Amino acid sequence: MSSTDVIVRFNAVEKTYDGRVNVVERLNLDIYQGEFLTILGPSGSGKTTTLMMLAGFEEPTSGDIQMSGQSLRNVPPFRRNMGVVFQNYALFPHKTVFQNVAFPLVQRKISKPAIAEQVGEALRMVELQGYGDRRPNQLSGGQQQRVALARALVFEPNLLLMDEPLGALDKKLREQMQIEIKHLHEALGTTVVYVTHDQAEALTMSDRVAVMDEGCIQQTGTPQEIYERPGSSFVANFIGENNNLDGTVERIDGDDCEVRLVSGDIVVARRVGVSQVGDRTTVSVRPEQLEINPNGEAHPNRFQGEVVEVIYFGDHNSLRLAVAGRDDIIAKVSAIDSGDKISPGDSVEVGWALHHCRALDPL
Amino acid sequence: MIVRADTVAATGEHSGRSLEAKLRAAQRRRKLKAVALVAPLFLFIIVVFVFPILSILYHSVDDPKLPLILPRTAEVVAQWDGGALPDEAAYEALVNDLRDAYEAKTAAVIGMRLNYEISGFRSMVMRTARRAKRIEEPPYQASLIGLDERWGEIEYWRAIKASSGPFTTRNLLAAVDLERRWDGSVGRAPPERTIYITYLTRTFWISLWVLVYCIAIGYPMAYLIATTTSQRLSRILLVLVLIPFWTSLLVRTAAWVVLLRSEGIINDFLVNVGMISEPLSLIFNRIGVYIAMVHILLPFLVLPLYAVMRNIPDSHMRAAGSLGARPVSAFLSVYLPQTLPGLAAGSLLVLILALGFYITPALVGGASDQMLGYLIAEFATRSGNWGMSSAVGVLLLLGVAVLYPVYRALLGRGAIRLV
Repeated sequence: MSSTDVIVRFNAVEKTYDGRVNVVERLNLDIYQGEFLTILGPSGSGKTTTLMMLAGFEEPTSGDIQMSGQSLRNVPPFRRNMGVVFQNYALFPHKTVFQNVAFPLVQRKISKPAIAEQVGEALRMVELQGYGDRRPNQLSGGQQQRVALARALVFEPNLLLMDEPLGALDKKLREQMQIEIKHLHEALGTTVVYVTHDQAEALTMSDRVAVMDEGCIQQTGTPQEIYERPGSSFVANFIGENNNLDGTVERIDGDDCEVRLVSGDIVVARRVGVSQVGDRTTVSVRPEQLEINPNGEAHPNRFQGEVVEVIYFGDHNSLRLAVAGRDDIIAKVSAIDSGDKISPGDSVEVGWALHHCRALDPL
Repeated sequence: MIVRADTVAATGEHSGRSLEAKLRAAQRRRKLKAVALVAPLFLFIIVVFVFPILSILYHSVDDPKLPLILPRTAEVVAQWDGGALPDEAAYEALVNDLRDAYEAKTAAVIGMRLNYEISGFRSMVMRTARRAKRIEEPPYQASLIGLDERWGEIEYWRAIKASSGPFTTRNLLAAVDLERRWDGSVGRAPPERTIYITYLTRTFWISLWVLVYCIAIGYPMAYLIATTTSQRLSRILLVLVLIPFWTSLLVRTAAWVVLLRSEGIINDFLVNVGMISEPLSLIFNRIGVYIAMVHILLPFLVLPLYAVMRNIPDSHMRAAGSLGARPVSAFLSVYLPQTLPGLAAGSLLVLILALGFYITPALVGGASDQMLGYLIAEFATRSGNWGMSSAVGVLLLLGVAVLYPVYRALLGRGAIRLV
């Protein structure tokens, strides 16, 4: 994507509330026209503050946010033309659904018939036609969420900002809404900036994910990149399940390296967060990449281990293994493959490929 | 539905009824429990609220004295049409009644009652009663007029007739500047008695302005307390609002006298710094009444407002902003409407409390700043006229009673949740 496609640019943005600790630290981030960008991070990582600065509710302490090349520094929220969906929806309880959705149009002094038409269309879009006369408190959580969406989209904003919009919904509804929001984004093409702490949500919905921690962006990339090629131990552990093996770099060989684990075993891994021999490192392997009793595969990493626990998940089994001096190594195996064959106490061989194994910064 | 109907048919009517009966029994138990829980409050309200109010209503129309103390006279004037002076029989009844009353030491009581009708009647009755035992034979009329020639004036007899009870509308009519004439018609009371409407309008007017000042000061304050991110600031402000609750009303009002009088702290300060050359008259006038009353009533407005505002999430104003509303427009269309229930509840409290103020205007107000409460106290404590005192009380009660529907009409149903 070329720089002309950049709709929003965070340029060395910092934010502090108390003058001592930065909530957001030298944030540089480009948001591209039409993309679905998720800012993912644990609570207190500065992701909501980032969103609030973009919406104009918070002022950056230093640095600049630009939209379409123009600084937003002195642009108040009501001139930014960004739709915001809040965690608690922020629907106006004294107004009907219709009045809520019409609110941005009324503020823009649009004629009454045009308002009626656009509100009707927006409510149809979120499948709430016929709910116009209800009050927000007469709607379910999911319906309120849709009203908030319709209200944030009805005025065709440049940007749709969403701050943990699905946090208050139960799991099933949340998953359904994830798909609906994704489809809406595909249909409308509006640029979406979505803030969440739920890594599954980030992976399913986004074009691009920016993982944030302690005020800094740790990594940006497609969901696949973030999941399969984490750039740091934080990202590897925050997104998905992960096995961590601590050790010291023994030898560096181009993009790869050998790591001596605490147990004395040697692991071969991709070199990501290490620069020289003797560096401390944490090697990361996803549980689903571990193979039990690999037949014929020429895995460079092969270890003898013992099954400590078998946990049944329906579609897969999760094995807790004692391997390489640790007893918390998790392997995900298909329930069909393993069946009843593996039980606690069994001695097994565990192996994984070099390219699934990454030597990251030490935890 | 079909399944349910089948089930009912299968299990039969009998079990259906027993289920209903069980439900009724359960509900009865719950109801009994609820009644037991509210019973103490209910009794308390009956004893200290309903009963006194009924008693005030009763006292405002109760007029039993004349038939008790002057029974014969009461009987005779009941027959009299009030057109011309009553005949000898009436005079005879009065002489006998007054003599008995003098002996029973009740003449002063009836004298006071009659004095409400015409001033000077009390001394006239007392003197006549003292000498009544000297009149032992007819002509009673001539003898009475000989004692005091006012007994020959028809007004005094009409006053007796008007006081002959056992119930009267005079107090209630007087409380709205009206009187009942001898022929039964109702008309405007003479100018020296038409003070009540003035007091009533003044009472409402002062209360209304106190409310306006309370809203002007209290709304922004409640907003700040509810929305500030500084916990310290909101706690300090809340304490400042609540401090008036911690001291007695009398002490606070007295403190205002110390602060506001011409040689008081505020005037001394202003003169010393040279801002004014003459002391401002801040007390014993309307300004003093407003200052002291607003100070006392402010918490009643701020607290309900604060309670409502605290529950309005910040995100509402933010959402309004992001949707294109300028701050003023966002406030008017999103924030203000959501605070109306609190504003209505607080305003109603302030208004109702302000209407009943007595001590504060009495201490910091001038003669033309007194409210209905002052009249009630005057009648009750100084002249012992419980009838008039009650009637003015009824007037105040009615004033408050009309406020509520007016409020509901203004703010719509369900707007007032506190009252």
